[in-house]
Amino acid sequence: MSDSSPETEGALVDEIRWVEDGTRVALTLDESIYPMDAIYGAAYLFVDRCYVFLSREGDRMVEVRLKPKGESSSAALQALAGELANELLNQVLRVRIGDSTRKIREYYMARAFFSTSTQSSIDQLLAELDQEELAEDELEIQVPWETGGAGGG
Amino acid sequence: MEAELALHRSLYDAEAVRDLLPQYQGVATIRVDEAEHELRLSFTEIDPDVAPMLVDHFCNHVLVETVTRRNQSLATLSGGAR
Repeated sequence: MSDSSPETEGALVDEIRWVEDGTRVALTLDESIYPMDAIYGAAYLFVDRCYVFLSREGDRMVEVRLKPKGESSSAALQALAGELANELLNQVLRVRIGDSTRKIREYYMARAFFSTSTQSSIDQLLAELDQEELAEDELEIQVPWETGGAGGG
Repeated sequence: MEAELALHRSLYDAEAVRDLLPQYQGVATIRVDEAEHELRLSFTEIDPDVAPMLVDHFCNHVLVETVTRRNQSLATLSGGAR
């Protein structure tokens, strides 16, 4: 950070502290809360508008520094910090959903790749559909209302 | 004009840095010293037309390349399901 401009500090939430000096804003993030995948994902979305720089501020602490490519003001920098914090939350959620659904995605991929050709053929699927249609309808749900005598009006 | 830059190895892909260097041959001479935790880059003979934003632009470029390579390696590990 530059020494020439007065720095403003704040906290968006307890876990995210920021500091801005009029030309750039820096957020310090705890990797145990914001995994690197989330930090990379969020930072990546800002490279079209900002110059982004990552630095290690200690064990499991990462500083993300944003310097807008265009004009910057104190208010704009603070808004940018808020936007990054929101995006970090999105990315954390994305990472968590990715982790929690990994097994099922891998299962479907394995099924798609390793099922035999007869199991996945279109003929097989059509035959299954035909069988379902011909199966006995014990509840008579499929009986048209005109002939079902349900007295629907 | 000269500039210095330190990229932490845990955050930036060292191979991506090395692979990008030829693209900047026309605008600066970049020397890389590989320390244990950091890549220390020295920019010399910087083209005055690009001098003000060269290092910032280089950082963005390395970050994008690092993220892209990381995603590719994760996709490979998980069989493309990511």
